[in-house]
Amino acid sequence: MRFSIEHEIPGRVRVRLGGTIPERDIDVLSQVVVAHELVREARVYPRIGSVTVRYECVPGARREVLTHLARIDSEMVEAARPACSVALAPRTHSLLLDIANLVGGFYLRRWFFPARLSALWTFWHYRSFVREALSSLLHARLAVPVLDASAIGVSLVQSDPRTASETMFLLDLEETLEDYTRARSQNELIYSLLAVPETAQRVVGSREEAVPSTDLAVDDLIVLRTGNPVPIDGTVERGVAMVNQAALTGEPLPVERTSGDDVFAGTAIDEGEIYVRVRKSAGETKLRSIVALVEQSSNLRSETQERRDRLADAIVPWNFLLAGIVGLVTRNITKVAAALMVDYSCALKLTGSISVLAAMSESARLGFTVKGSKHFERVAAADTIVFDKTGTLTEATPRVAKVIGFHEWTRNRVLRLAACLEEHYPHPVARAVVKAAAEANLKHREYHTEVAYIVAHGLASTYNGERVVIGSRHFVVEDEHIRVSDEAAALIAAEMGGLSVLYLAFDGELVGVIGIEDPLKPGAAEAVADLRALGFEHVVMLTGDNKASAARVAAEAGITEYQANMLPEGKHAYVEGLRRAGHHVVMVGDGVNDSPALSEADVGVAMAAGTAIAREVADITLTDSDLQALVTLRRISMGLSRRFDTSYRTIMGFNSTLLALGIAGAITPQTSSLLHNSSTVALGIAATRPYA
Amino acid sequence: MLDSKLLIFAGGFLAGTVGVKALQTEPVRRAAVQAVAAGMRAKASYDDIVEQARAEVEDVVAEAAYVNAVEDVDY
Repeated sequence: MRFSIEHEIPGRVRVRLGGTIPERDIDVLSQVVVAHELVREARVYPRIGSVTVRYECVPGARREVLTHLARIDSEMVEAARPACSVALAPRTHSLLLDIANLVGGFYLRRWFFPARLSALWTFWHYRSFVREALSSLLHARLAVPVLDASAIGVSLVQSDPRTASETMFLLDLEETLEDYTRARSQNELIYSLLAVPETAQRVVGSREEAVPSTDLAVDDLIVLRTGNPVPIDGTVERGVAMVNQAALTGEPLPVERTSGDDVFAGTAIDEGEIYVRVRKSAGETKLRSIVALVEQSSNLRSETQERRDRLADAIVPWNFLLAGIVGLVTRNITKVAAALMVDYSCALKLTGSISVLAAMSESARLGFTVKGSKHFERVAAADTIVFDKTGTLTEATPRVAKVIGFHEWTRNRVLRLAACLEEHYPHPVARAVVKAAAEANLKHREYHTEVAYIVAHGLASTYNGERVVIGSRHFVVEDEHIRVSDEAAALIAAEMGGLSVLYLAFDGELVGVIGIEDPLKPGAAEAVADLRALGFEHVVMLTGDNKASAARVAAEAGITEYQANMLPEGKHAYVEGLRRAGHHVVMVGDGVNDSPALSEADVGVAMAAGTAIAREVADITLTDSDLQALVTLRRISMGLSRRFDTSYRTIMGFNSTLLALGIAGAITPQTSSLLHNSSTVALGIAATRPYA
Repeated sequence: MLDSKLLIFAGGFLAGTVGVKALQTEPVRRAAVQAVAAGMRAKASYDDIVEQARAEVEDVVAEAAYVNAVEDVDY
């Protein structure tokens, strides 16, 4: 495309294109521009046909970026359109224009319209407020719209359309800002969820391969197992699974799906294994499922916010009572107007939603997705944080450090059989085994029958007619009654110090052990220390792993309270116990075995690399795996609480003073209205300050 | 007092009725279309001005930030 440079500094250039940019091209164009690796941000100004591009400041970058811009043509834009299906997402780029229109219209009427015409307009506009007030009264609620309409009405009755139109203008402004905050926070959520990559297991002949879910085509066959997300819409060919459809239907209990049933993108497999024929590709379905999720979560307003909104509504009758008493005592309509002119709700609602928006967008920028503003409050109030170990405190990608074979079993044979089983199970440890086998170039064919998955214990199957089990010591030795000889035990103790150990048994005999190294994440210890400094009294680690490796990780991370050999029920019960003891609990986890505990906790936080089911039940999702994000989350949450408190006190104090002054006659209703409304806008602007 | 208000009301009513009738005649109708079109053009150019102003303000802010960053490096 042809363009001319309008403004330029190193790292940023604004270009002007030939003409205006149609509404439908805005998002696509900015996506195409950002697609270049050096480009960090693009902003499109559709009306004036201009684009601002920020790029990485490295030698030669300017020329490359300009060449990239020049290469963009209508074909590229058309090619990018299908991937950019965000047309469903609410639009937010026009806030400034909406506000400019409100302000421009207001002053146009005030300065240039004849007073009569202006008054006529005011009356006409007043209808919409009356309509809202009536609908509130019809529901037998003496709520804020009634107060608004009465306050404006009193100004009109006093033949003061100027004040009336001023009040209406500020109320409109507030409504625009509120709509915008809502749309904006929903959008950020949608975009951050769209960015999370998903893979699926495609079945080709007798083999399975992991492919990005966006590569799936209609009529592909995929297999979904415990903990997997359903990435597409499809029909079950065989198998049975319990499917969690809460994100789509709001139904909390999983439903059974078997041959011939349909499954839908955005749901997740609670338990079981199904083979699914793809009916609609991921591109078509992903956005829909995310929008459904976001629509549900955006209803979760913060409790404090709810409480204050209710309080604001509850004050309204007293406002009227006060106005009535003032009217009876003073017989002075000006003083009645003063009592009606000040309401608390307007400012409370505006500062509330703007504060939350600021927190949400800051969170999204810093790498976590918060599904609803009430979770900030819970995080701020929490005194206990519970971590899962593997994948949360430790690296998401553990690796196989040692393999020992017993009897005639070679190390490769142990690894091959283990990988053959573990590839069916979405867990970091399982992935480590499969990866190690792949790196050792070990091919494994599917000789075993269906794999039974026993949560947090291990896997069991039949291989050439013999029972084969793999899993923790607890599972293999105690539940499956596999005997470990004294030499084997000594060897394991000597070789596997500090490692997590998987036991593999074949035909009732221990044939091998695999030592998994599970290093602590860099910065985990600092993050734990910071969390303590920010007021978490208890930092707890729960793991299904053995005591030795739990002790090692806990010591390295600076955690003194930990529980090893935990089952999912155990984790859930532990969190439940904490809550019953009066603690407010944040639970951080990533796996299938964490999901009961995640949903039990006051706030569940899922790691980015976690399974779909964990992300599904969690209230907050980290988009990268750095634990420092939790510290930031706590800071933002506490900042939001503080901001709620200060703005609440300021609003109550300031407006009560106005009310008193107005009734005492020290200031006119007009002054009081002006001060009230401008303080509201000022507080709203103050609420946009960043937190961290 | 009341009478004058009543008169104004009646006048408004008359003006409205006559206005609707007048709108049905071709020249008045054409003039009305032109007037609305001019209004829409004014609105569109107002919107353009707002967006142009926004783009330029952002240029100035970015340049100012850059100037500060360069000064930081110098000293």
